[in-house]
Amino acid sequence: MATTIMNRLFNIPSLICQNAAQLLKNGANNAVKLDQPVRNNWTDWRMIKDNKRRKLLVQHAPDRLRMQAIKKNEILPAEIIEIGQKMLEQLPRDSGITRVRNRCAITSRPRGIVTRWRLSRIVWRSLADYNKLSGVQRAMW
Amino acid sequence: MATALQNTRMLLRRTLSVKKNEILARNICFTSTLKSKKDEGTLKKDDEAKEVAAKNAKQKEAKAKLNMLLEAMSKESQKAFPAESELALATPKFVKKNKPLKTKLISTKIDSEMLQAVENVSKTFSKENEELKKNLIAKLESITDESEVARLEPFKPDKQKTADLNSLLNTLKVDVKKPKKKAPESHLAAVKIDNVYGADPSGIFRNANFKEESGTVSKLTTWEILYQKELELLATQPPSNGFQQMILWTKQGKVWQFPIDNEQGLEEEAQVGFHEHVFLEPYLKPWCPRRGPVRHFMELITVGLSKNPYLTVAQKKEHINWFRNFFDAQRSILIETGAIPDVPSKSPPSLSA
Repeated sequence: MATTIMNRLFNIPSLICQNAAQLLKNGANNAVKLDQPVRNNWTDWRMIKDNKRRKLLVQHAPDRLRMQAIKKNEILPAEIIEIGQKMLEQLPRDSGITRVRNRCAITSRPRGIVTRWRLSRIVWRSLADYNKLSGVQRAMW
Repeated sequence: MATALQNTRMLLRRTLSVKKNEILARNICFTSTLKSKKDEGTLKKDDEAKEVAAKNAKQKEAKAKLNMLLEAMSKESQKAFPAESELALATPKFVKKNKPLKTKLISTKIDSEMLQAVENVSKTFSKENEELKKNLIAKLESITDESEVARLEPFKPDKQKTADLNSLLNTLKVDVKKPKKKAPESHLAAVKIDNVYGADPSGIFRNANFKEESGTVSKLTTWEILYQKELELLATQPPSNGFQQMILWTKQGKVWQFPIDNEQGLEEEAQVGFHEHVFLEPYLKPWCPRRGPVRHFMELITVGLSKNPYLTVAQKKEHINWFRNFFDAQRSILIETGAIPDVPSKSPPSLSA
């Protein structure tokens, strides 16, 4: 419980920036309740963080691409490259593609993912056995 | 609890007050001396007894009336109905009497006039038929006997007859009692509305001033959002089975069209020609220098973009424009390093001279 409270406290600045419009509205009660569990649609917190990273990735992808192009460059003068490097550092870390982890959509398992279905192998197997995956059949040859 | 008892007593008193008055009046009529006032309890008991007595008296009166009615009805029925009636009345068993034919038909019971009528009737039907005469006379005699017997004896209601008559009455649907209290007729019921929208407007609200909410009251935003969601859910029925779900998805365009087209959903992009994707040099022309590292860099960028099938033309333009802005911002540095020829130019934002 203490960890969740700390998480909420740490997340406050980013949350404020993102939800500034809602916060500044008249009559909106934005008090953070620290005695109740937070309810959401995700399996666990790691899944939530991964989701945030994906959103940031989508948001900053074009900027990141351009800055990377400047950085990973041998033609332009060094000063320009340096500037590009610094601009890239300014971007949030979670916008990097390497930070995104393909997790299971149901169990949030980080390993053993069947990419096409975005499921962990265990979940995939259980669904396949119950004939819920189209075109999936037990291998026999 | 005491109040409950008192309430019940009050109710009883009210219900019995009317009857009490009636009973009192009757007593006054028929008794010489008035009864003195008694205690409440005894009074109540007396009232109850009187009520019972009154009920009995009423029943007796009703019965007497009914009997009178039935008597009248029965007499009428005997006269009106034919001899062979539908009602299962008591019919006499006819016994043949072998009288001499020559003797004139004399009977003491029936009137002479009746006898004459019987003779005339028999003559009209058949001259020879003496039997007819005899039958008629016999029947008339039996009827007279019955009537005399009935007259002499006190009237005892024949259960069968009363039952028959009651059934008759029921079929006739005679309203004996009518409820005194009628439901208060509403004024709206009297108006017959044929055409609802045909009449002229009444103009009740013509001069009405409806006050609007003063300013914005502090709203509950989450509640508002949830309320709107609930309204949408109520309005739209979710699909109840797989078929309805598929139908909904087809209407929304989420379902693959057969034969399968890999570029389903990319119809707009299909209309854009490849030349717009590939030939991006015109976007460099206004600003990019013809030689130098910048050009080299931008050439690489354009080659990369031209080979990219996943971006739209707008996105590619956006990329190029960003680089343009970036290099414009770093103009001084570029000039220092020698990437751009340091020549003052008349034309505004252009790196090339």
